[in-house]
Amino acid sequence: MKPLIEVSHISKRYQHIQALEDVSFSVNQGELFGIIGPDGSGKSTLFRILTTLLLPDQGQAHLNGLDMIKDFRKIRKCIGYMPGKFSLYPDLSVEENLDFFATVFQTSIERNYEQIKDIYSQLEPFRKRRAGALSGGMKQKLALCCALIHQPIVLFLDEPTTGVDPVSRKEFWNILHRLKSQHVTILVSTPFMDEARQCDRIAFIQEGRIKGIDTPDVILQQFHDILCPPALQRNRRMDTETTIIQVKDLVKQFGNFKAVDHISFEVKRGEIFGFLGANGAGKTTAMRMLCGLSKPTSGKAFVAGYDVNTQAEDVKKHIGYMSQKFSLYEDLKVWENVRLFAGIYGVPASEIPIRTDKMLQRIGLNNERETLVRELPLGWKQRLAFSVSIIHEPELVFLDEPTGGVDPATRRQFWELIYQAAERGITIFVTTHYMDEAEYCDRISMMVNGKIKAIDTPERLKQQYQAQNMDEVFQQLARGAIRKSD
Amino acid sequence: MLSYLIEKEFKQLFRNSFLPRLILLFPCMLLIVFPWAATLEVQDVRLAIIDQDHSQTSRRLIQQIEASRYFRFQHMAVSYEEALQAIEKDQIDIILQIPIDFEKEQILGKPAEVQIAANAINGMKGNLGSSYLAQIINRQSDTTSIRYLYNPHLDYKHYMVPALMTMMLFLICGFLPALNIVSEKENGTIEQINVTPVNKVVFTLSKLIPYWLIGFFVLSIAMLLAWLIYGLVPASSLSTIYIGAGIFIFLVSGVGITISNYSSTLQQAMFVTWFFVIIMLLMSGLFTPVGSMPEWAQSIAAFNPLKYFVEFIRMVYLKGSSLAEVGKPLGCLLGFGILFNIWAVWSYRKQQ
Repeated sequence: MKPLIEVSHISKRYQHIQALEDVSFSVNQGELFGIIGPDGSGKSTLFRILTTLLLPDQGQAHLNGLDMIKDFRKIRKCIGYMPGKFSLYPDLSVEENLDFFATVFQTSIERNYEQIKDIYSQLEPFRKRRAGALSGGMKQKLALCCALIHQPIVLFLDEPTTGVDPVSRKEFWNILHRLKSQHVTILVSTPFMDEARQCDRIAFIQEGRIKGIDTPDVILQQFHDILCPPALQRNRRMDTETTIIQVKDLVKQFGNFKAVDHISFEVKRGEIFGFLGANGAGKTTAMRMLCGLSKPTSGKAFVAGYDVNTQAEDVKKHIGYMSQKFSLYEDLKVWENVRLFAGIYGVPASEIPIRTDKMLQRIGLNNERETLVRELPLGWKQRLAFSVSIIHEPELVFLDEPTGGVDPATRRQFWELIYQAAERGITIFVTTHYMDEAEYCDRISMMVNGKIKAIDTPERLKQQYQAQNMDEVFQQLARGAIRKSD
Repeated sequence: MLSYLIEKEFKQLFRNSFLPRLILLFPCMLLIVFPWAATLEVQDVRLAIIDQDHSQTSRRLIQQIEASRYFRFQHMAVSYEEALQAIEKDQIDIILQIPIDFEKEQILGKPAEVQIAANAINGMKGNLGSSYLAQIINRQSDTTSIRYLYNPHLDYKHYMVPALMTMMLFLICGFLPALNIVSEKENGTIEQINVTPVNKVVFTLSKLIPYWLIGFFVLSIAMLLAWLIYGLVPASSLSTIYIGAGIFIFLVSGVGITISNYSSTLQQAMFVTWFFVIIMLLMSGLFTPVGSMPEWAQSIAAFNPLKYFVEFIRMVYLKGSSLAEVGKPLGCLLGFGILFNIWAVWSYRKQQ
């Protein structure tokens, strides 16, 4: 049988960077084909070439016998594409978004309802809601609907589940399997290895070159170091005596909606505390209150001994914060960012260069000190952002999904930094959607519908829920409890 | 703390591929091109003359008009109707009718009467054209003389240059900080600043001070150009101008920062800023004198800070007023400036 997609010797170069080099592979009709690789390895470039958005410098590609370059108009009609960042219009409602994409492809929701019925039935209760107000998992389902509305024969999904919680991810992949059974060919990239395992075949791509194409088992074995790094070991050094965060009956209400609903917990000094929950469970809102970025509606919280209601500015002096959205200055150089934040936190001028050197040495960015932050790969940016957030040696640092969208090896390096910081006595408060990271924490809490459903060490939680790993614990706690408002 | 933030603002500014050029280009464009374009002076008024007198005096009058640089003598009509038709066809702007006995009346010492009919579709041309014409005619009989103070040659460019400087400062020092803060909001970097101990006053100052310096810089370029191209030098001392400009920049940056605090997207900030820019410019006396606005508009203009600066800069640039003489507009500006900057600090929310 002739393959549906044939890519031969494709190369692409952006000024100084060779994004893709001599890439060749083929995908069969009805296959679920995974593309995995570190951040900046050329995955998105490959997707953009295959969806005819970008011209390759060299090489050819054929889809269903059509030439990628000459017949791009015909190709665009028979493919669906979900770019890495949300492709929806946040100000249009769910229904309007879908309608828009249907119209663009000269079809209508009614005509192709069968195709999207499965997914759309989950979204229908919220069809009047603005797409921007949906949770991450729901947005991705809607985006998938929009990519499917014109009955494409091939779907291109560029990291569709980055930033999506484990329960929603599982649902999303169930949908993909159903589509596969309907003979839709799917090309998908993902930083999650449990998702990679569900593909028929995966291609591992690194620095623009394909290093191997085979079944997931073979590839994961072959590139074990990068894709399945060994778990981190840590000697716990916890001062369980003193409390650094104390939360009592904390509430944040937006209109009628209680984003955070009477939560109470404590974090001890020196702990690595994992703050888990589904998309929209209220994690970020709770964290923003603890950082003094958002005012609680009611309840009390003390961070490093200061009341977040009345002494928010004192809290800020004693904490570090790394937000979900990468937020260093992209147009400043690495050292300039470090200098700026060190200066803001009142590190003495004479000490700033010394700390900068030490820090860059530690995170291996010494050669990049003159590079604009914009030009760094995502994983490096994250390491830099973390190190900048603790440049003033705070007692406590808040990390909001610090490792979204990077490969396992890069995440592991990031967690090494977290452990080093913990060794120095900095308390870590972290949210994540990666359940392997949850296992790295000393203690975790699970937030469901604005409330804390469980809080304990990972071991004890696994025992309590009779689960093999944290993923199962999460699924049990969060499944069915996904917000009605979603 | 403040110094680090200001250092960052300048690094970002110079690393931007577009802004530094804009900051240089803007005053040049505004001073080289606009004084010629934004002129209210009327030239080349097309004139038809109906000479019914055919006398020595009437011919002399026609020669004088012909010699004037304001008029282009279009044609000699026989009848009023014929001339009116030419107006309808938009061939001429003004009809001058010299009646029979024009010379005789003059000799008899009676006031000489001529009739001027102007096409007022282009009101400015009709109005100014006929008043120029009246001046020429009156010169013949009357002895009134007009002396134009402070702008002796009635050069419209001299009137516009200081006003254009105002507009330039307003746009650069009002828009840029507003857009700067909103883009920090959109990039999410402002959140990283909000979670640090940087307080509201320091943050606002860190956005204000760079624009102060930029404002002085563009003003200096503009004054240099005004001198080089138009030979226009400020009649008062430079220090008076810089003091006034300093207060003005303080004010407009405050306005910009306040607007940005209420805007969550660039689109919104742009739109709101534009709205205020247009209202403030139109009601400032920059193009049309405030004194000739209706009463109600004048009382609104009294709340327009821009009006005071236009007043101030024209006084110091053309009239040479001293610091004490411009105390009132400066005081008003300072008042507005303090008001807006307090508002800017107050409306900046570190915590939602």
